[in-house]
Amino acid sequence: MTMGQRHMAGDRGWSSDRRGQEESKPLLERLQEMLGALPGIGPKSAERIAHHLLAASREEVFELADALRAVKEKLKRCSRCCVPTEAETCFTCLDTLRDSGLLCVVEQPRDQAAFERMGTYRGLYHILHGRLSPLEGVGPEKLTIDQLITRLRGGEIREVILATNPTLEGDGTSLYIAGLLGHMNVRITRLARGIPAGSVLEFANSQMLADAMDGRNTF
Amino acid sequence: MEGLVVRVSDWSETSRIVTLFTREHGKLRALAKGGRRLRSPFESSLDLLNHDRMVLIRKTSGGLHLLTESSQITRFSGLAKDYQALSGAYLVAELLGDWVEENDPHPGLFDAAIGCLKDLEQAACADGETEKGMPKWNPRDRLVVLELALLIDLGYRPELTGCVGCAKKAEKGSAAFAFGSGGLVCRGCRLDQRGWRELPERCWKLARNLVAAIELGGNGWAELSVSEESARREVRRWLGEYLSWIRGRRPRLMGWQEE
Repeated sequence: MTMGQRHMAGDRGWSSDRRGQEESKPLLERLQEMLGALPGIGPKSAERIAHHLLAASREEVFELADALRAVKEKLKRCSRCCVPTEAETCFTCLDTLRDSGLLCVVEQPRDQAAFERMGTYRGLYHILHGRLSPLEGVGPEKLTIDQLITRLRGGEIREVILATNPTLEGDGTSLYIAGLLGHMNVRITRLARGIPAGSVLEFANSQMLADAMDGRNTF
Repeated sequence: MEGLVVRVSDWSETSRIVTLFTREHGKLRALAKGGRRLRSPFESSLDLLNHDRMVLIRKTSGGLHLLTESSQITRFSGLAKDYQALSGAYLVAELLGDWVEENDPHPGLFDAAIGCLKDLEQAACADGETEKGMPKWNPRDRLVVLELALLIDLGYRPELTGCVGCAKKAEKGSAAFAFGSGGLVCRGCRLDQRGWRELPERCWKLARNLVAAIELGGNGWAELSVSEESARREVRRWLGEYLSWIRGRRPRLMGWQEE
């Protein structure tokens, strides 16, 4: 409802309660729209969350708002690996127990989190913040490839593991990076792909089997 | 139905929206619920430029169709071995996604696109040598053939035998190609044209032979293999300008391809 419409509604002699409801409606709608724009939240969930926030105490809601504001104001990219961090350099990069000669290149911070959950990798990371996607207008300049090259010029890294997603665009990104690193004195590897451990061959799809066959190892 | 995935975007935490160029129904946009999950009825078939066999529920209301099942026929994984071939394949996806209208089938163009992707993959994997007597394509030349096939199939066939104004046959020397009329124009008729470009004789003759070969069901390899690089370069440039003129903008991936 526009200001003009609200003014006209007032002229028609609406009660103050009714007018108050109408005035609060756009705010609530706006909140629902913003919540609904988040990944994984549909219109129904957005409505439920918005009403939950309305019913919650002021302190709870302001704490959430402060947390949201702080994320945008205080988090920045790590100067080495580009992961979001509060400090200049993240804890992973500062960890002296990690193998500083091993660098795993991933698309998103969530991919790094997945590797950390695995618990067996003790090297460092580099976050690209996306993948080359020419159809969507994402070129090398929108990724952190320049920072990666600068980091490798330091000479400490001996192996770069290209851990982009096993999709055509992920493979294309790896191919592009491998081309740039070709003249550098580093070993470039790609993640293996194939059948998940614990599954059975009978139910593996043809692509998994083909990948597993291509990437077979000497016994 | 059989289709080629020409665009993929994530939708919600687990679903995907895919744009498909299908053999039977032309371009379609569909929602694949659970398409991002590892275990789904789509397996790993919803990757860009996968050639799939799929089942979908068509919506008559004009909204997104619902993709219920999909299995892979061909995955052109070899494309990821050569960046020039890969960027060429991206251009194929862009052209099909942007030029073909929804629910407008072009089975000939579909087959031409699959053939082009196979040849690009073969070029990416051949590593400088031909395999089993197959010609090793230059990705850029292979795209020229597909671009011409696209123009012919969508009704923009370039007229390269004579003047579109007075029907005078083109014989020797350079000739002007009028973009608005979609064909060659003689010196007298070009004054009436808004936009035209001078084409050297070797260029329009090669393009004319390619159009004839494509219309006969060939892929133009014989014509391209005996042509000079300068003629192929001219044809590429002219074709890029013609496509840009029709569409009002240059295909984005053409720049990538050149880089």
